[in-house]
This record gives sequence, structure tokens and C-alpha cells, in this order.
Amino acid sequence: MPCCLLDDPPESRASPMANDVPEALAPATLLERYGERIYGLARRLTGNDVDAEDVLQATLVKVLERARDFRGESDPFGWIYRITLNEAREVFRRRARRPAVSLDALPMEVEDDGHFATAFRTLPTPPDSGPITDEVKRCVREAIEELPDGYRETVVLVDLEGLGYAEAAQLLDLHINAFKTRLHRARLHLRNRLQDFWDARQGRKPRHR
Amino acid sequence: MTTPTNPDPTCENVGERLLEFRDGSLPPAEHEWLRQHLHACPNCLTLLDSYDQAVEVVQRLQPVDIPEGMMERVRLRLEGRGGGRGGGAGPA
Repeated sequence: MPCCLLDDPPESRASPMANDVPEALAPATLLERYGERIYGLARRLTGNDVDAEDVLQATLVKVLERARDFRGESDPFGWIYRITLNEAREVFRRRARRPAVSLDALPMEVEDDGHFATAFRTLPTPPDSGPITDEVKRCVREAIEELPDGYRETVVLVDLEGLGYAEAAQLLDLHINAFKTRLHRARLHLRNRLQDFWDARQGRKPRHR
Repeated sequence: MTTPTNPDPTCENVGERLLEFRDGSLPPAEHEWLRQHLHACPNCLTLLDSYDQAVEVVQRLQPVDIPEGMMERVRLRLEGRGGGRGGGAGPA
């Protein structure tokens, strides 16, 4: 897992004479322009307001420290995204958190013949465009939080932030195939946790975990 | 040049490929192999349906709310270089 995404912002390497801060990264505009996007990503990665605020603060400090090195000509948010991801990982490392599940293999039991050991059930879904209950939200957020770092980020970037596979894979320094494998296993874990949730609601014994 | 062969028709192999089946990125022969398995295996078809349902639930989580006063706190800490969590560097 890469841990030093900040060391070499790719846009910064070509210009040893860099010394002008891009207007978008100027202190007066940085928070106004990117604050909500950074906070939104941080909130989804960390799962709570306090940690998200810490990540926002630390990300802004880091961006300001390194703004003179940034030489990209396009929207710098990709670079800021990487910094935010790194800061969120730091917060996760520091705090007590739910133990991460292991997703090295498919998160479901398989018989010796390769067939699944148990029967799956469809999940109740809220009516079209209707709100999702607080209980379901809590279940999903807990399930996201217990994903290992490199898996949680795939779900957050694709399913919550709306990035494409290629863009998200690049941000995480992953080959596209490795990225898809992680995203898929993370989604299967979330599916299983939702089924456990509904099984418990209906008095059935949870089959996973 | 070798001819690609489909994986063994086990549910486990189907389960590994649902994401690519959904987004249409499997090679045509593998896509057809998986489609036929889903047609014959109600359990895997249920897995696919519930996978779709779970993704939909996640994607429909409400947007993040910005806590009242949070942006102002952060702005003040940046300007003041300290006085709160994470304060350190500030504008050059």
C-alpha cells in the first residue's frame, strides 16, 4: 500500500523554478473553493465529523505548505484528493477503530466443489427516490468503516464520490485490475453486512462475520 | 497464440466476476459463459441481484452535511496558525 503519495506530486517535478502559487491554491481562495469537497471526502473516509475536520485542517495545511511546488495547469483537485486520502489514513492509524475485516478472498463461504455454501437472499430496497432509514445508513457506514484502508477507499471514491474506475485507480496508485478486485470484494462485504442486518431484523441467524 | 478458456463453471468463479459482468468489461465468451451460469443457477442470480441492491443503497446515502461553524473554525485556525486541532502551517 503506498504511504507517501505526497512526496512527489506528479505535476511538480518538471519545474525547478517553481515559485508562484497558483491562484486556486492561494490561502484566500483554497478553503472557499475546495473546503467542502475535501470535507465531504474526509467525512466519507473517516465516518465522523471530528476526524473529518481534522483531515480537512491537515490537508489544507499540507496544500498550503506545498502550493509553491504545484505546477499543474489543470484543476489541482486530483493532487488535493491524494493529500486528503493520505491524511485520512493517518487519522485511521491514530485512532481506535473497528477491527478491519480480511478481504484477501471472497467474503463468503465456498464448498470444496466451488459452489457457495449458503443460499443468498435478495435485500429489501427503499422505494424509488425514497429516503434510506437511519438504521440502514448506520449499518452501511459501520460496514464501510470496518473495511481495510485500500478497500474502503475504492467504495468511497466510486460509489460515494462518483469517480470512474480508471480515475480512482490512478489516485490510489493501483493497476485497474487490482482496483476492480478490491472494489468488488468491498461491495460483496457491504452486501453481506446488509443481508445480516435484514436477517437480524427478521429474526434469522446472521450467516456472515 | 493461445485460445483463452473459460474458468471452471463454479459459483466461486462467478462470484469473482460479477463486477465486470455488470459493467460489461468481460471478454464476450466469458460474459456468455457467466450469463448461462446465472440462467441455470438461481443462487448466483440472487447474489447478483442483491449485489446490485447493496450498491444502490450505498450510492443513495445522503450527501455529507457541513457542520455549522466548522468552515469558520478551520479558517480561523489557518489564519491564526494554531489554537486548535492540527494547527501548524498557514499562509506563506
